[in-house]
Amino acid sequence: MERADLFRELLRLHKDKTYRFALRLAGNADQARDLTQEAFVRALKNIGRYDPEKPFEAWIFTILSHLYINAVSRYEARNARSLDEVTESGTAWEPPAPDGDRPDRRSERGELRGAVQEALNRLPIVYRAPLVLCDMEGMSYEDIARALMCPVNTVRTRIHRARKIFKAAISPYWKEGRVI
Amino acid sequence: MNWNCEQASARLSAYADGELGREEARAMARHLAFCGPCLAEVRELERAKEVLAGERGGSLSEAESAELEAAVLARLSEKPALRPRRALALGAGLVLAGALVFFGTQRFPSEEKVPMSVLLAEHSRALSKSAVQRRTTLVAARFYTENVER
Repeated sequence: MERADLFRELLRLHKDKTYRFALRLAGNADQARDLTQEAFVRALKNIGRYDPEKPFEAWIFTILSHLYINAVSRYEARNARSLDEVTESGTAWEPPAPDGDRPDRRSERGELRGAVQEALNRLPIVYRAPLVLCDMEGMSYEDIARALMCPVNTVRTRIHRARKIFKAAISPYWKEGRVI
Repeated sequence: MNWNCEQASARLSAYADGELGREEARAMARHLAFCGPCLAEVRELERAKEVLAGERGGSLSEAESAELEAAVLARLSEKPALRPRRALALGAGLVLAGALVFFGTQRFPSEEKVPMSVLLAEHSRALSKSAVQRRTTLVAARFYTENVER
């Protein structure tokens, strides 16, 4: 196989999962597409360093997380504020407007979907990333720890805290024990 | 081991995720059998988990996928522009490298020359994984093997 064919194969196998993770990190489709593209370029440029014995998602999600965190750090430096503060109410920073805030988009999607993304956007990055990887991508704590380059116990603690904040944020949508 | 609520509450999410070890999971089950508040909390955490899983989202459209592939492959085939001094240094390096090759000092195998034994070993290891990871392993092994053999 030619090198380009091999790259196409890796893209085909992992693009959707990578894009979904990018979308949950960034909160909007445009930034998610840019992040996904950059992550794949970096991953494939350095493909010789990828150990095929390890899950590919862990490898590219590490790259993706670093790209997003670096972008946030640059934003913080320019705007002289921290985007990772968690207030007493459990809310955090206000990110760039997610797709759900556009009136035309909100009319097209259910309330719950918008509430989910808003609730995720309120989480600090260090909480949002492991929660998304666990609940939306079904990754184990061990694989999440590898992807985010932190201990498994840290993953456990952050997921627990993130889920409690998330639960509080979407609880208005729970009526009579059911999610509406 | 018998847990109180403080010990149990920090582990409720891990329990819901099936990430507790065997002994911890048993201790949690014993605690939940007698603690209504903790049981209610773990049910709500499981519900939150289900909500997120249900909002996982779909795939890139065909057009978006094609656009991503084209953009990534185009960037991978870009060659960085060289400054004149670096171009001169590179040119000198290429001449030297050519001389070394000519005198039979080539050291690195072509990335296309992967020993069959290595590919077969990778293939058998790949069989134990998911279909996606198996395919990824086989594809990526072509690039990784070159580094392992150096």
